Amino acid sequence: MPDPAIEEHAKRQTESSDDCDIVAGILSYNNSETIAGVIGAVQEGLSTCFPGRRSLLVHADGGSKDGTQDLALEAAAGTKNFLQISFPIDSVQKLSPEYLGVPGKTSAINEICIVADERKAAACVVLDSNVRSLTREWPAALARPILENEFDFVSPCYLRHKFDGAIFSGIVYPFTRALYGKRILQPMGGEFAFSARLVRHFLQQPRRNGDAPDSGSDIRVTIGALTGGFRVAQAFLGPRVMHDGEPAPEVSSILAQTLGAILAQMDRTASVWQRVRGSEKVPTFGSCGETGAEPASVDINPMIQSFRLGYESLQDIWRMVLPPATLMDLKRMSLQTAGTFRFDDFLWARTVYGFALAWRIRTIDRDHLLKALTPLYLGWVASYIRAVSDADSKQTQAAIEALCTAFEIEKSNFISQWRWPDRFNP
Amino acid sequence: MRDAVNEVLSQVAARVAGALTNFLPGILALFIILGLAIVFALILRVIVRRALERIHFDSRMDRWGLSAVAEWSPQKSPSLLAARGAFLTVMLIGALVGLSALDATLPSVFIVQLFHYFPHVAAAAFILFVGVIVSRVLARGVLISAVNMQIQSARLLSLGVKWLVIVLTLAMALDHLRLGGMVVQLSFAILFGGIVLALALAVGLGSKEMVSRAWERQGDKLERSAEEHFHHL
Repeated sequence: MPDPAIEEHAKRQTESSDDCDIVAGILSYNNSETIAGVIGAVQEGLSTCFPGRRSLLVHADGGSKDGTQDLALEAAAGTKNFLQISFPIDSVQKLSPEYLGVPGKTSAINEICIVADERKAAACVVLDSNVRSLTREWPAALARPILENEFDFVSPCYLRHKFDGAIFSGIVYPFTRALYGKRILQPMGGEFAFSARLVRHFLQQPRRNGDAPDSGSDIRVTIGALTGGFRVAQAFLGPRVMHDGEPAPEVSSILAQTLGAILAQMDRTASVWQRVRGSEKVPTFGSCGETGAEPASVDINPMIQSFRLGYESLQDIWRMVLPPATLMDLKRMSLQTAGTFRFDDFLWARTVYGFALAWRIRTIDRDHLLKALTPLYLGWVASYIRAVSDADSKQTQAAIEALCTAFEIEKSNFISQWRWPDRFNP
Repeated sequence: MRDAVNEVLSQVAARVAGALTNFLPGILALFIILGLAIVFALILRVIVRRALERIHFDSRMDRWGLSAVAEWSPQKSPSLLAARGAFLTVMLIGALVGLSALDATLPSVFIVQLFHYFPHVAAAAFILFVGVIVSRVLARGVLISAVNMQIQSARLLSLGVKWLVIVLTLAMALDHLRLGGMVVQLSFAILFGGIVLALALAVGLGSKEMVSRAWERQGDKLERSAEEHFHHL
């Protein structure tokens, strides 16, 4: 059932309350430089790609202080199918400099779902206004599989440079693929779409106290679709270039928030993923172009140094999380030179699973645990960059596929340790 | 003469018998109290040990950074140490209560003072326990953050933070126990100030070049990140 508190807080400004076919929700927070362009692109896309369909643009703002809301109203001036809403936000998220994305994102998505449900929309698309590369084709690419092929959830695929999105390549994609058995390239995409059936399913979910942090609202939506028996697809959107506003948080904060959100969902859906074996492809719409042949310009030496420093200084913590055999392999790695540095796929999979298990049984404070993974993650990134620096896109895909296979093979050990944690004694 | 000796002897015998008559009930009460204390202490030891084993107290102590307690414990088991501590505490209390049953003034006064002092001991023990845990948590947080910031002296920083908190905790505990008075307070002030000054000098002067190199690397990293085709997200 919709949260009464959210409904009470929401303020609706609309001239029309007619039903519609598509609801496009745009999330924003201090995006005055991009909001007008995004709203224009979405309006043009909906009118061009779905001329016979009724659409509604919903702007959900997280309390911007830079005039984003006024600029959005200006951009949508004269448009009847525009709705601007606000929602309650935890003040801690606004104050924290390490918080990623739109504050109160979970509430914003929930509010957009309420609007979509009230208007009996067949498809609900959610977009992030901080994306400079958002084109008019994006809403159509996400909504079309739902409207024409009766899928329930459409996840995005982005065209990335092979070095971009290392967290997704190294952890998010292999980990969620192994757990849930679906090869969704971007389970934490900022843009996605769902059907009316899935909207009703989300609205019926109880809101728990201490729910997943808002940085995990994307993964919550994706895993909710995967574990609820819904038809899932993915759509290629093109490159995703973010607007460079405030400086990005430290990699340790990014890692802690991203992985923490996934592990929270993992804990909640344990009864589902333990029955999954292997993985299968997900229907994909659109085609992925090739990235330009740009020369690599990433220095991996600082990452290797970070890994070595982590090994020297964090052994006491890693010893509580990882078994002796894994620590021995990491010791051998720390002695490798930059020219031979390699993080074996199976070793990395065991490391991630070890931290996931330690997170579950609260070996140490969870925030400390996830931040202690940072040197290991940077070591993997250095190894990955070194492995694919001269590789083409097919070879890069093959490397990621090998990593995913390692995660799927190591999953059985992880399940055993999950079920009998008393036997987990590094 | 013989009658006088007999009279003296009978008086002495009567006094001794009277003293024994007065003393024996106390002795009997002492043994009964000691016996009850032994029984109660044994039961309490079993209860404490089983309760601590049920909550995995030994592994939790290790996780909270109090593994040194295991080194001092019999069979390296803090649970066993706690159980034996409870046993000895009950036995001590039983012995003191038993001594007071002999109508001895000094033990009675001592017992009263001991019971008045016990809350301070409990508070000091609690402060020490919390302080050690807090010091371990803070030290671990500082260590992880410093490593992620690629500060080479991460372990030193972590150790400094840990000992700062422990010194503060010890001073608070001793103050609660009313031991040392001004000597403890002055020693704490000197030690605490010394540690802080040493850390400040290490960062401000001794590591001046290291800090400036770290800032240069940070600046280079910001410039490089704009050029590199690399984003974690």
